[in-house]
Amino acid sequence: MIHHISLAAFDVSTTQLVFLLLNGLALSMLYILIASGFAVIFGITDVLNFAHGIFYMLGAYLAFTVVDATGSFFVALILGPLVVAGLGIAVERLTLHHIYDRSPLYHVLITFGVLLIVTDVVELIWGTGTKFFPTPELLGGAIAIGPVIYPRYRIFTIGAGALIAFLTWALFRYSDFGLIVRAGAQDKQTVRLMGVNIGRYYTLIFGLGTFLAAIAGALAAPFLSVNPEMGNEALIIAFVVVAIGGLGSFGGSIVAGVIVGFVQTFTNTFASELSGFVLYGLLFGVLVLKPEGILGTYEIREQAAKLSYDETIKPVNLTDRRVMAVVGLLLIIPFVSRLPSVSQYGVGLIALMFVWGIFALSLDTVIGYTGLISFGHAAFYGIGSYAVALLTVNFTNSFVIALAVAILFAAAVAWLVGAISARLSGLYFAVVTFAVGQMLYQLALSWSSFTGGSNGFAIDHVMLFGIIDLSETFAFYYISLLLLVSLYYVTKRIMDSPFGLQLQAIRESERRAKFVGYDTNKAKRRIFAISGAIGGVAGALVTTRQTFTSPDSLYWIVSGDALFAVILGGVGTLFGPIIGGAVLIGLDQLLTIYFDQWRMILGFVLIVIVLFAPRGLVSFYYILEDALGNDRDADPTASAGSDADSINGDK
Amino acid sequence: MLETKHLTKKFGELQAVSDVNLSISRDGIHSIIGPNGAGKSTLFHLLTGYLKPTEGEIRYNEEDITGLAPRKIVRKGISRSFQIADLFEGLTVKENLQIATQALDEKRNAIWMSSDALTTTLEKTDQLMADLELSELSDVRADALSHGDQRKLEMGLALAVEPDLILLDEPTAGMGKQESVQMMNLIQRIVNDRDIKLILIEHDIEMVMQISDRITVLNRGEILAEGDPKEIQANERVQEAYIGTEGE
Ligand SMILES: Nc1ncnc2c1ncn2[C@@H]1O[C@H](COP(=O)(O)OP(=O)(O)OP(=O)(O)O)[C@@H](O)[C@H]1O
Ligand SMILES: [Mg+2]
Repeated sequence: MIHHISLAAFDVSTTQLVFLLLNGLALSMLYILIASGFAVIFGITDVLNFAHGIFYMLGAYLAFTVVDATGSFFVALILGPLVVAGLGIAVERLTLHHIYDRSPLYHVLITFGVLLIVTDVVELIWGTGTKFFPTPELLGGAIAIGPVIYPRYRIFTIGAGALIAFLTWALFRYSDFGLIVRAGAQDKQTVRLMGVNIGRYYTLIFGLGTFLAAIAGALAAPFLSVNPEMGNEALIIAFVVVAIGGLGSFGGSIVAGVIVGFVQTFTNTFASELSGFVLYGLLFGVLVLKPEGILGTYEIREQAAKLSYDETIKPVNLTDRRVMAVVGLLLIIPFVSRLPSVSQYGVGLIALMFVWGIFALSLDTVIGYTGLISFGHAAFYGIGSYAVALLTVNFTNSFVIALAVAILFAAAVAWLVGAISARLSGLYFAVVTFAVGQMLYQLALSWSSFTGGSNGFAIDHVMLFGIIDLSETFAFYYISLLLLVSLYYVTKRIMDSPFGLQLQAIRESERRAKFVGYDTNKAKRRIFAISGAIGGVAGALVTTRQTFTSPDSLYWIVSGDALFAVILGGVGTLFGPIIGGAVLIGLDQLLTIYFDQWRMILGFVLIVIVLFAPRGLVSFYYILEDALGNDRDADPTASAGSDADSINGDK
Repeated sequence: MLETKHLTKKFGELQAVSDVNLSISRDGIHSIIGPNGAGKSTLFHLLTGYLKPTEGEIRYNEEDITGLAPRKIVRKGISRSFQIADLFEGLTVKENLQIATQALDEKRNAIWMSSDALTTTLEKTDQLMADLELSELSDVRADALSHGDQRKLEMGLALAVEPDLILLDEPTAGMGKQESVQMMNLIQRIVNDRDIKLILIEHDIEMVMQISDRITVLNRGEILAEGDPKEIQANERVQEAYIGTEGE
């Protein structure tokens, strides 16, 4: 982009340049505030906070309300963020605080649940319209800076942002609090041995992080608009900045905040059609060249950080007979209910549940078996969807061909994602996959001549063997069921293979897997390709049914839902996630009829599941087996609930 | 069998391993001793590809293996255990050893067959479990084992890949005296039976003196002395280095 700027500079006056530089600086400050809160939480507590953007948004809305009530912007600027920080602290105390010893996957899901809830609460209180936020009187108007007349409020933002960032830095650098917290981030055990209650510091850190997010939101309110989309935008900014700067590095988020702020300001002016995409191009470049980010480091510790999968259970021995019984039942459902519109709806809904079963199954191979937290599975779903759509519009409406192409493309991209991120593990992996997913989303949005832009496009009916119309409910029902059952058996077989055993070895300890001689990077690429292919099937099916595609199929919320489904069903069990996917989409479709704010309910369900039944719905299977006195393959440790009171070392 | 030249590893300012020249022959047990932080584990990390040396060279059977990835070094016949056990915790003892043994099988990457169809792997796994006296715990999850059994399994993972040279980093760490002696007997027996060269890091000086054929003493990353147990015992510099670190 440097290229663009220098070319354009010839016909840009000094005035405009100074103006742009100041704009870049103002935006940078906001980004620094957003990202540093996110980085601080991650760096110290290892929690990847998906609710960060929502706290930013809440800061803006609360400031709006306080200004409305008191008329004072400065009261709002302090009060709003303090309230949000209090909320952050409450969230931490009630949920995360009890599960720090668990896999980070569960932390991510808690914050995702909070995001779902708060999004709807904001909508309930403030509605969906954009709020006009007046510039505070004292800071209104403009002042002259050299040749430029510049809005006073933005100057204030630059100053306030710099001051807050500096104070935060000083807090970590010079206070006892900062010292302990930094030591704790390095080595929790030692700090505990020194008699420090590290848990209490985590609560404070979470409060501080949310405070930073909220104050950024309040500062942004007068010059960016206040609307329900701003939370998502901030979250993505936080991810991009932090991934570029180095996960968990405070300094990194400052450097990257400046880079991203300026790059965005200049592309908005000189190449606005690229503005969404440049950000991701930048990120992609960094990830390929230095996956740990500009100032990020890898630390080799004696005991490399690994996911604890105590929450997993051995796959239930689902006998073929049981599977066949269920499938038999599903086969006859359409006949039994072959009556008017209501049952058509029901059959269609069940078919959609099959598809989400496939999608969750695809994710389980990566998360449950290999221990890789993918937060970008929407990418493969979306690629499947677009592959079918584009093929149908441009070449052929044959389902077999479309499906093959969807599988091929999804697998190829997944393989690439696996290759790029193979060096990373744990949450670094989640960040990279998230970024890749969002990059494709942006691509679909921006490349509108090819993808139809944000509206997407409609397609013809897709035909099986030229005669069966697969957008028709019953045909779709059977093809989805067929694919679901086959893919279940295929993945089951793969997971039972030597390769499958290798994947579990990687999940348990990648380092050890390397030291017994496995090429773990290769295994990761392969399982990613397999998983991507299966995800592609799900996306292809949905588009076949709806005869329509849009960038929504690539949006990161789809990835979040898939994770939700996997946990809901029972991670690492293959058939559990299938049930989870089915139940989730079923609830989704039914609740949406009755409430506008149904995702809030899902958020609560998610949090309850994570806290009290981390093994998911599958654990009820054991309880049922126990109750029937058939404890043949019951897991003695599968008691849901007891996991909630964990050992934090500070009780 | 194994040689290093000017092997050096710096962590920032700190020279964890500094200009180490080793020449280790095929026969007998070679021990590496030295106070805490002497650089013993770091040396193992370098030899097994876990860390890349800042300077220097490693040769194994005349071949330069400096900077090779761990999995490639394992294939050359060098395996290791870690000071803190690194097991496949959520899997059973049997699965742990099966995974490690399977790594030698040419079908280790096969996708479309059951892992239980690799019969040689399963037989070897059972044999190893028996040798380690872990057969009875076959179906217990690794994280549910006693400390001593975890250490055994840790060594088992290194043995499963059928090395010619095995590096054990404090295999008796955290064990009581009697248990340590039993463990050491087990190690000696297995290494003898399978004709594996052993390089051992061990804190218990008395034990080291009893079982070693050769000893290297490290201190602050440097080789302080090298020789057979008698020479080491008589060495004044070694005695000095150990004064004040007594009782660790
Ligand atoms: N990854 C690392 N980064 C920075 N310093 C390290 C790292 N690993 C080890 N060190 C330092 O290098 C020195 C040597 O450590 P090493 O673990 O090799 O010692 P050791 O001889 O194995 O000690 P011990 O008997 O306690 O196991 C120590 O000062 C240690 O703190
Ligand atoms: Mg050591």
